[in-house]
Amino acid sequence: MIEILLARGPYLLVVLLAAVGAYLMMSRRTLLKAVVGLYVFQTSIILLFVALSYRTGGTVPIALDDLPMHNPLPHAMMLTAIVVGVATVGVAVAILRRIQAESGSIEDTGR
Amino acid sequence: MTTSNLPALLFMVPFMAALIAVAGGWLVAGSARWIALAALAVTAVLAVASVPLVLTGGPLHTQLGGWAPPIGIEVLLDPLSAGVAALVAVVALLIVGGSMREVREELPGQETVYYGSVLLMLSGLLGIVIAGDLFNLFVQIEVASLSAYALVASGGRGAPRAGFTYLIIGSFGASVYLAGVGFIYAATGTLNMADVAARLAAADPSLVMVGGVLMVAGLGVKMALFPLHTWMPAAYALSPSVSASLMAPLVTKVSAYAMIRVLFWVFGGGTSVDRVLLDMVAVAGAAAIVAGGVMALLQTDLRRLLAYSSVGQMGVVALGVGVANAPGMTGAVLHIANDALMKGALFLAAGTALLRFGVREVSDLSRLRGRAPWTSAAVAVAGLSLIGIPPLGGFFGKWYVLNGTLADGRWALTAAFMVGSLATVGYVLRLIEPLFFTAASGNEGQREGSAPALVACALLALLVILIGVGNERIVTLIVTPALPGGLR
Repeated sequence: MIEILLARGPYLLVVLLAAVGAYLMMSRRTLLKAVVGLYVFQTSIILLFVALSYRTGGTVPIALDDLPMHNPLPHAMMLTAIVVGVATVGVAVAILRRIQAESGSIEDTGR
Repeated sequence: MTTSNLPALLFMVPFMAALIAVAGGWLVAGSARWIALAALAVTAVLAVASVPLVLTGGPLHTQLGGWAPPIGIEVLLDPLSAGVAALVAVVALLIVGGSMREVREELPGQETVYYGSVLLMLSGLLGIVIAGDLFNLFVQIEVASLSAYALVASGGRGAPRAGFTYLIIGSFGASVYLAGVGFIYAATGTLNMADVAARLAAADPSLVMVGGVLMVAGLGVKMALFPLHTWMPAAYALSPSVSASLMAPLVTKVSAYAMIRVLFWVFGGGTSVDRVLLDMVAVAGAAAIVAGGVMALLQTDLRRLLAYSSVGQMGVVALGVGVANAPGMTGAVLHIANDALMKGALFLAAGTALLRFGVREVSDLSRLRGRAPWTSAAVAVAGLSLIGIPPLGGFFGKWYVLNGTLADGRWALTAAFMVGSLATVGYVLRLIEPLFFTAASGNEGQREGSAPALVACALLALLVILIGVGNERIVTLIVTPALPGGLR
């Protein structure tokens, strides 16, 4: 059991975060919660890529010697994905401000 | 393989222009629209010129930073992407050129931001079209989508909420697509589309399956493939009419292109996964044709009706893609062009109806009767094309897709297609009847939209007719070379 958790740990966390994020997106009283849920969901995917890059016995990806390295490419991609995620949150919050200005609240009215 | 900077220029021109337009509009009020128009004109010329180049000389590749794929990021134009890029650039030029006065009326004081967002969205859409790399495709989808959310939310009553729902659902879809890319990367260790396709046969089938399903579902959200279309009706009905008339013809169509690209150029390598994904898309498409048609029939809001009509038309595209034979794919590609042109004309007309006659409801269209003959005529042409009356463009798209379903003997799909087509007749008659056959009412004396809007609307309707009349040449010269190899 412990071994399975250790071997699959990051992936279990990915599933957990994705579930929490999806739940937050759907069960919302205020629209801000949907933004948080979306961000948590995106974080689960970032973790998925980072977990993929792990190599047993690996080291930092700087080619100085012949040691096995963790794969640097997913990290590079996820830097971009993080930027995309932050930009999404920025646009979402800007839209929330417009909703607040228009209807006086950011409660979810079901529309 | 020919290397050229042309593919990269297609998205760099609008991207750089977005920065220049925002700076220019800030320094000199009102300059943003001319910068946008000039940039889109340049892009349209480049995109149209690239079509014969690619058809005669083979695909054009740009290796960004000089790194060769699969290590470097590659953007490319092949016959399919060149055709779609030309379609996107021309439709965007017509609609942006035709809606300048409407933008000033509808979004006073927000003009610079509007054109900045429009250019960013187009650079994203063209980036999707030329992407040769799965992760790059995700980034371009997000560039296009983030601008699209802003364009929707910039409207008045209800638009921010519609934009917010669009943002949550759209970003969720893009994230699901990205998760799929993660599985494909885990299975193959590469992201370049051609490289992934070459390695799929040797990859772990269960990883590939999960990745494929996630990617198709994510792209399905973006192309509003039933039942993932829920963001679209409110987004297009409540956004500013100028935003809707630019987005409705382009966003879902480019996403449909991305779906074709992924299904056939990535998963088309003869794996069993391919068949499962195609069946998913075919069944969703058939359901979309019925649901979109029936929902459109039930709408009272004009733009909501048009949005549900798009759900149905994207269903036609998806059905053609899903049956995956030569007639089906020919129809799907043709219908992407058809729906872009038809929805361009219809949403421009809906904008004119709203801004000149205050029309939001379908029944109020009778105010246009006899007062806006050219706009009405464009609606009639686009509407009859939606039904599929020959010799208009829509007929041929639907005809090929219908033949595609018949060729495989999949009668349930054919039946769904027929039911949806019947519903289309119903909702198009609801548009045409008040324009031509009901007694005119209200708003005496007003006539037509602005001259550029009228010209754009008329040109789009004319292109719908030309696609129909010149259909045989278009199919043999442009569509057939663009199809993936090995189709029956």
